[in-house]
Amino acid sequence: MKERGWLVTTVLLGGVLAAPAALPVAVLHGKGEFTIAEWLPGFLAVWLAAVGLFISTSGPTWEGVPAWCRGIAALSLGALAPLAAMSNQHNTQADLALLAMAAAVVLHLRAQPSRWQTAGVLLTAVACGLDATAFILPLGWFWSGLRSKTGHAQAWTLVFAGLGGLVIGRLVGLPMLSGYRIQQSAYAIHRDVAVILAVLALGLAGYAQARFPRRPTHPGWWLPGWAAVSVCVLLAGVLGFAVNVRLAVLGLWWLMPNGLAELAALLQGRLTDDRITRTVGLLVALAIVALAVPGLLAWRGGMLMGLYLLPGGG
Amino acid sequence: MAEDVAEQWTDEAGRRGVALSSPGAWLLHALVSPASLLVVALLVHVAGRIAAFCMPIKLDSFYYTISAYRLWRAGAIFEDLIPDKPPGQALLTGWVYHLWPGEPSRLAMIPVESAFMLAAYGVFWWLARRLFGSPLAAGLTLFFVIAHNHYNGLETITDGFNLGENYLMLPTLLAVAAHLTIASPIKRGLARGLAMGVALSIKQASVGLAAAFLLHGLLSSIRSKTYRQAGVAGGLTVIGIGLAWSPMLVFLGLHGWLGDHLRELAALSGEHAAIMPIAWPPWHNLVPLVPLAWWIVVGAVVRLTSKRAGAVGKSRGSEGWLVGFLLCWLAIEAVGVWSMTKPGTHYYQQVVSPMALLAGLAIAALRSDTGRRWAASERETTWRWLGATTATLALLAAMPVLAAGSMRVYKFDPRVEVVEFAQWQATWSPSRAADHLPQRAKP
Repeated sequence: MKERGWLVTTVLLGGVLAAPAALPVAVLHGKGEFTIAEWLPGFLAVWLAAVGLFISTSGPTWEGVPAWCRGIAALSLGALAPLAAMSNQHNTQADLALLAMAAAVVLHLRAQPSRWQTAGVLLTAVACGLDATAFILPLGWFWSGLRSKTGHAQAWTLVFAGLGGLVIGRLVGLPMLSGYRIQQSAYAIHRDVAVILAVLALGLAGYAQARFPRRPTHPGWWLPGWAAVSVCVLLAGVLGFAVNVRLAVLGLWWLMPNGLAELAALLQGRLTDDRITRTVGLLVALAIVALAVPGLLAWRGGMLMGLYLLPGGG
Repeated sequence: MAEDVAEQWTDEAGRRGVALSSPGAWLLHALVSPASLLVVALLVHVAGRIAAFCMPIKLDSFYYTISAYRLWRAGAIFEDLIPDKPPGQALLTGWVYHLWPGEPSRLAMIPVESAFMLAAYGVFWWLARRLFGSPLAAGLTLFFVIAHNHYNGLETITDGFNLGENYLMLPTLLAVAAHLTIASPIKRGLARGLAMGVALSIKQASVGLAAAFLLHGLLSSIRSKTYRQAGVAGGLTVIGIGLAWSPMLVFLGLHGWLGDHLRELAALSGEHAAIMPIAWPPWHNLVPLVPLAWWIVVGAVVRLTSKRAGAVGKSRGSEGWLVGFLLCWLAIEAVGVWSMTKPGTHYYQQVVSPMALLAGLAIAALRSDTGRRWAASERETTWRWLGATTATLALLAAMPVLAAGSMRVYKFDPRVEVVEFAQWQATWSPSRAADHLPQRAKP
């Protein structure tokens, strides 16, 4: 299946996977009742984010990464992202934050510089206003910009936009974080992290493997910085700070295709013909399948809930 | 793309590649450096101690603390001894109340227990570094710390603070270090015996390690025909155990409790063990061992594939000898855990040390193989993937401890501690600690 086939698959299957995945949190917030108003924003946000991930990873930064790797990463975003936000108190706000951040990333990666300077920056500010965890995107740019000779201006622009978004969000009365109550955050965060363990492993490997150019004119030059900040923020979340897990790991989702591509090459013997390296690759693949089990079980729970909610299902 | 990146490498085979571009490389190297791993280990230790100390149920920690407090007071009586445990832990810890400035409470035990545990981590790190080198030792120590704190911080039948297993770590590791690294049978036997004596005076559960020493020593002496050396080391181990026990025996003898307490110990030891049905342990009890098991599986598969001997650092025996001892020890401890009649998670602490050392051995075999014949690109790819999966599995194991620590820290109240201690003191006696055992319940 080529690029177009995987795009169609991502669009169709992404929706199919996201629909039941968005159910548990919607029913939870509806106090046991399903309402379309609780479900629809979450469903649309992750569906669009998944499609955005697939489209935005087709540029030169992912040169050599097969379409199926990008498709799998996008589908996993559609299936798991809603389940990694089960404990958010303000779930619609969290969904909008995810959508705004994903859209900002897509624009930064795909649009021409003159365009991203308006829409991309604006969406970054909106994402930060909706959830302070989104500030990892400007911080990632800033980190990358520190190493670059010419990227300072872009980095500072985004940092100020993010800060502006944070201030405006507070001024209009939005809570700073869309997520957890402080004293209950640790267990909830860990439950959310457990759903995306396979994404973490593949994203971490992709992050360690990805070699993006430092030139700021290149669309993906800031990705390693974003991923680096994502890892730091995720570790803070694991320690109990009430960050939004799925926003924190979004950068690793964008690097997951690189990890998948390398693992596939390792298994197929394209990287090396050494038997031991390939054996290790096989064991790693099995471990990642095992790590995916909590996420698959959570998605299955959403699907069963969906079957129950269908007319005649109960 | 390549022209944008400064760092490039060329491997032995002449293949060229591009090194990690910053800032990714900097963070990754920082996160996996031995210093960072040890800092994370300390963080997990703190979270684990908070989780264990602030547990909602407080039983065993009070049993042992009250006994320790009373035995170090003037006018201690026979009822201050816990009937089914040797008094070693109480004697090793109760002195702190003579230095403690405030009212007596469990708080006094926090620094004592942490000192024992930190010393145990240090000994483990030293042993692992000697056997497998620094980078592996740091990773293994982190897994060791996660597993121990997970098991006692998330205990299911009692509380995990001030338990015997937390104090056993240090002497058992010292005994193992002596067994694995000291060549002289005289020094080895004596050091092993002294450490085992301390361990056996804390809790009878350490008898599993003594059995492993005996079995492994016997089998390796038959194989290498070094009967005399093994005999000398074995005899000195027994003498060492006696020496380590002597302060405890003198203490009991001076109070006139020796015969009665030994009789009670003999009658009640093993009351928590039985032949249990064979069943797979609950998943949550295996999670802390998963990173270690992962390394063991990878190392074992690589070892079977390459059929090359792994590199063991400064051990007094070969790789096979070391594997033999660790498997023997692990099997005995696993049987011990299986035979426990209560589903306490702290029993699993006994399995952690042999598992961790086996994991180190397994991954050292892989490192030895990769160092010998792999090109830089293959080495980098393999270790990158192992690192990513290991980090995720370690996160899975550490998260429950960190969650429990960050949740329970709000329950910490030193004033309540003093009140509760006074209540236990007034209404409870250590001699009742074994009342639930069938042997004790009989008239």
